[in-house]
Amino acid sequence: MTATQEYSTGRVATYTEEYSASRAWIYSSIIWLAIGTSFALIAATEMVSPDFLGGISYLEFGRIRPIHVNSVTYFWLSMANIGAFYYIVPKLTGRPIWSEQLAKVSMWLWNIVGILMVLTLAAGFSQAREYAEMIWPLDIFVMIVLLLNALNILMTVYKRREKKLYVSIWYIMGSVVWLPMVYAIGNVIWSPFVGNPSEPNQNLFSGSLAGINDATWNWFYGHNILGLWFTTGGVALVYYLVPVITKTPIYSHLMSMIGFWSISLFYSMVGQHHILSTPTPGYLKLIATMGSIGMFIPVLTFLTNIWMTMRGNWGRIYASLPLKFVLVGTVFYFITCVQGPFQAVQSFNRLIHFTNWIVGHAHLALLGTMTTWAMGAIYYIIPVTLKRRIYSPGLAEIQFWMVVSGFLLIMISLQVVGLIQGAEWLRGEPVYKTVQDLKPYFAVRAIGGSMVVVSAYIQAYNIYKTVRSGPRIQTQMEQSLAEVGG
Amino acid sequence: MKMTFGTVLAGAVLIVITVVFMTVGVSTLTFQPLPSNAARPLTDQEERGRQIYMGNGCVYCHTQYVRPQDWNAAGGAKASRVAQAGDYVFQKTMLLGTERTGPDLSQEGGIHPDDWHRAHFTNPRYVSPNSIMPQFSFIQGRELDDLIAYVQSLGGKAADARVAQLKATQDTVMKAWNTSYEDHLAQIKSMVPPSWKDLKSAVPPTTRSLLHGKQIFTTNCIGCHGQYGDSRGPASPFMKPDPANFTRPELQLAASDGQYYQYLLFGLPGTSMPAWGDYLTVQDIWDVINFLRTIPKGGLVVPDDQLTPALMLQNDPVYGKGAPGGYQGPEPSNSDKILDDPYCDEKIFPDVSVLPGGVRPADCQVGTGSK
Repeated sequence: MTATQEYSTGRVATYTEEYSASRAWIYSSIIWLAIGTSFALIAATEMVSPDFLGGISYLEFGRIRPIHVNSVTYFWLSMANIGAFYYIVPKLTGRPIWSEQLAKVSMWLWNIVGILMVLTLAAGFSQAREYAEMIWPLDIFVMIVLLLNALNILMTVYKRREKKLYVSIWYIMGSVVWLPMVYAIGNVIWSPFVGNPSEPNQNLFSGSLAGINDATWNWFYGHNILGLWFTTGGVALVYYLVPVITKTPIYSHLMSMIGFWSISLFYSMVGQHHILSTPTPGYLKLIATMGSIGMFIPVLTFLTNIWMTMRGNWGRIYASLPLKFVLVGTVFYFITCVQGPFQAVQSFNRLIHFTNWIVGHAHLALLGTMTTWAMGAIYYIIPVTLKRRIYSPGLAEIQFWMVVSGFLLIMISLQVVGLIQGAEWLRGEPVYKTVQDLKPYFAVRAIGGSMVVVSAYIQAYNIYKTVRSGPRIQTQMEQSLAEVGG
Repeated sequence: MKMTFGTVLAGAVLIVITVVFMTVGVSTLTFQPLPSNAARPLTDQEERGRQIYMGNGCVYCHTQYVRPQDWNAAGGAKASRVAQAGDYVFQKTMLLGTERTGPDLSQEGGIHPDDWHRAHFTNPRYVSPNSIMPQFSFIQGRELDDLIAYVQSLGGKAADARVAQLKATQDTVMKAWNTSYEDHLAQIKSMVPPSWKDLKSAVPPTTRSLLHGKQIFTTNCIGCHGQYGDSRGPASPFMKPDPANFTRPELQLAASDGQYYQYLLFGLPGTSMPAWGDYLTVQDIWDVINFLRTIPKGGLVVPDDQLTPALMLQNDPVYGKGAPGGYQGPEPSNSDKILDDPYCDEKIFPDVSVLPGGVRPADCQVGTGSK
């Protein structure tokens, strides 16, 4: 039973309405990628040429950076993932989304949060907590949207036709429930004020605790948002797309289960590895290091499962653009998750902590891995649901190579200079001296970044043209081809 | 194991809640450090400055904790302190930071005077030419005062002691500055220990030394001292007393090499002159001092090929003799040639037995110390 049969019963009015919520979230996400990467390019240029745009308060680096981070995480990746969930969940449960209308309303609410996020951060209202910069009133707004989304998806799954729950559904259910939990806990939203609220200018709606424990709360959030939302959301997409495109059942059900339960156990332990050298309780650091090494279990089971599913299908990556995006993403995921545990070990952490290595690692996870997965999902879902072929496969190829090579320039330049910084500091060089070493590498990073910006705009243009004038899928054969990512 | 709706939902929630309680929950309930000997609550003004710090994203490039291995991250050798849990008890919202693109600020209070910060926030390259920090020229008036007050509070009570000392020295310096230039010169000289005053440049003032000194001066010093060495750098309007005007022979004659060395190594207390000991090597510092002596006669203006020891003040017919107790110039020597081959020079290597092979090179010219 698929959703296409559903509309004959009159629950969905017209064919084009089907999956409209999914597409609405995806369209928004595409715009947010262009916005978020543009801000990133401004910030990267300011790192090379600090007086570029100098003195314009709302374009100052420290305000642009959180706008970039929040745009690409919450408003590009999250929206693309949620858009894909609104396609995958009906497909796997055999019924339309519980409330298409509610999904669209949450999409608009989410976009309003996004615009308010840009305005407040540009105006200098920030919680100064990494990945949680949105001020407290916006946190409440965010929580409402997240809960509406969770409700919508859980109700869809609860009232499903297909009784058996596929692995993607586990990950999606987990993700949509974990995100509001993690967000509320990490933002300490029950404690909104810094300083004395009655004193003017002292009421920033921060959402924080007093003392060093606040850092622990912040960083358990900071990593859980990656581990229990972006990663699990992306893994759900891959678990759906690879078997569907290759028409091959997933290699091992047992491995899927080990992966799911171990990721929820180990990933929730790792937060403290961001602040390993702080004066915080030692057992937290021990748990974080153990959890980080334990992450090899979910990562290797997931990757083995996907790559073994690909046995005999590797030739498909030449024919299927979505598959190409997704599989390149899995390679970067492997590199991310090899680097991660090593970074969490004290001896290596001594060298790379505080350096640009970490910035490179963050881009490896969120740009190299999650972004390519989301792009693959978009290039799969848009043609299938819209019944239109991609306007220009050639442009999409260019987008693929731009985003992959641009990302590699970013990661390699940042990680190389990170090692240089770390080694110099251990030798006792002052930070003011090592700043000079950053400049050429930051220039390379800005060049790589501009390639990613170009790919974001290509994607926006290509999808826009596909929606407006992509060649219609008319024959059954064309439709079957689209359903295998051709 | 059958993955039903209930299993997945309850399992996912319970595992994460349990782990989060075990980690952040238990640690918050059990770990409540007492205030350290440096911790103190912020004043209202400092708290306002802290919010400007948060709103402008300073935390993305500046950390506020020193790890045991970071002995040169914050304030250099002057004020390094490994972070303790008790340092943070009075702060709400941790600003520990995860990136160290710029220096650690946990001990920044009292390292630089307010004047320096004012110039630095207006444009960091005025005082730190290699900096890639953004301009904060849009923070002005009361907001800038608040921000500087916050920065001067970093380090808690230890910073308070440094700030108090800074202010006291500044008062003494300004009193002399407002009286006369001669009093100023005498006052800053009185802050140098006697053993340093007679110190002469340890690096012979060769052409190479002067060129290197010029390079260091033009990359680090012109923000305050000006591109002509005339104290008219872009940062100078922010500073009282004015930065040193090296074109004035009376300053050059009053200040000995050792005096300059002290100021470069540790900074000049009571003024905006920072300590350069963490950034420059001993050789760098002596080269700059040698070069400073050429500025009154155009060391910063002449082309590089004319920058020779002849331009130095001690070679000037009028000022060459120097003032009593002041600048006397280096020992007269054919020091340019010493670098040809130090093994030839009896002054450097009086004992032949320490040389390779126990003999001087065969082509040394006897008595001149060169080839």
